[in-house]
Amino acid sequence: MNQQQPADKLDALLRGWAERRQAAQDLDALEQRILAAVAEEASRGNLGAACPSPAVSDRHRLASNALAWFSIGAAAIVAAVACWLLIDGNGKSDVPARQARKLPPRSAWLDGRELGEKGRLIREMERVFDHRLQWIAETGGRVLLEVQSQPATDAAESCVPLAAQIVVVRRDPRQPQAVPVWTVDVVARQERVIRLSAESAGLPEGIELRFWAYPVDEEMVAVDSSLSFPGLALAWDFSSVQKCGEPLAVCRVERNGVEYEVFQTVARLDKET
Amino acid sequence: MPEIVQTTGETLRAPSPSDEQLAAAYQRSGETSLLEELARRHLPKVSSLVSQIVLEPSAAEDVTQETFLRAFRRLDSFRGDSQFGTWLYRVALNTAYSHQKRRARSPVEYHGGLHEFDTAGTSPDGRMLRAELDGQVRAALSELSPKLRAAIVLTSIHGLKAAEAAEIEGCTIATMYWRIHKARKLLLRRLEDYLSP
Repeated sequence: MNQQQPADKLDALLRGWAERRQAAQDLDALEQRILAAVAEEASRGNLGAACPSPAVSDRHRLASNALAWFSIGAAAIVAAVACWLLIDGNGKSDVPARQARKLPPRSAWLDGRELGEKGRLIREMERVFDHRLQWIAETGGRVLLEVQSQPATDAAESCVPLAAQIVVVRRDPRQPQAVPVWTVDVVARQERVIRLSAESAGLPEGIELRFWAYPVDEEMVAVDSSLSFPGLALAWDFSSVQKCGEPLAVCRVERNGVEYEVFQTVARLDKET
Repeated sequence: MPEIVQTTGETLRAPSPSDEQLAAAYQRSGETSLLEELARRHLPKVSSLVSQIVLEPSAAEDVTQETFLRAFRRLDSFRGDSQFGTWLYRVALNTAYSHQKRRARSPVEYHGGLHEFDTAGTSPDGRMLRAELDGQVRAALSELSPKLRAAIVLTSIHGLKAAEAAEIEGCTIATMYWRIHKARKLLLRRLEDYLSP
């Protein structure tokens, strides 16, 4: 039985196509053709010039150095002017305030201990469900699972396990800290499509979440996600890459002076024991 | 090729000069055989890359030849900041993009040729299925923009890391990640019938 995931099959499909295409090429004939063209171009004196003389190189290097120093100086002046412009009349920079405002709240981070637990959880649950587990989600104190009818193959198990957390936080100007008002945690292997709604998962009426992630390398993960949260007039459709383990603010709305912000965090679990 | 003779009596062949050494030697000497060696070394990968971007076999050969001529004409602009192979891939992609722009008004078409590839050794039914599959893959790739196509070809087929592909394309790593993601998403959707378990 061979039940590779579509992503694995896509790579195999592309490589197979490329190999057959390459096999159909007559590389020897092409090589002869190219070598003949190179010889002809060379005979016309069209193929580049010999290395410039050392004297010219030195002059070139001196000119490059002068240009480099000029560029560094200009960059320093621009940076100094930029800093000066950012400092307000009281002599305080507003940069820290802006950064502080954008800092993700503590609740949006997934710490190492949590990731370790999630990594163990998905492995254990896959074993319990005989490798038919698609995803696990937890929200509002409820744990939801999707289990497929057929067990996954080795190829599916080689897909990277991921943990994702989406947190809606409330920032009230009268309160010093952001307060999480809704959270969903998801654990699944890459490229599983997770859909949560009132009908399928008993979420509050109108709330609908869709999530898909694919790790493009050790540090970045491509994510397609959307959330509709009508009660707070929050809705977003995210399709981009984000850094593993770092919360990303994906949506922000303000209602009656209170700000609501959505943070999305995705982390790899294949490094966790 | 020079040989190094060890006192133990064993004979070791000296390592081949690197691409960068060959390029530098050509710049000093103007010896055409050095360029020919570079062409021989890189022809399989360059022709494969160009063929996967251009998608038309006959045009791909012209673009491959043009790639090497362009590269060798501009060899003095190769400063050794990156590996020669990376620089040559960049020239190949730029040459392919120029070709695609010229052909923009007449997009690549899939004619459904069932005997496009050498499929000897398989049954007639197998050949037909394989040819149909290859045609669909080619059609799906042709629907991607050249930049998205290059992103998926460099990473999925040529096995380059996103950072290496970004260096070749001269874009940021984030941009390359995005192109890979987008291309994969479009191909997964387009080839869904051939990818389902």
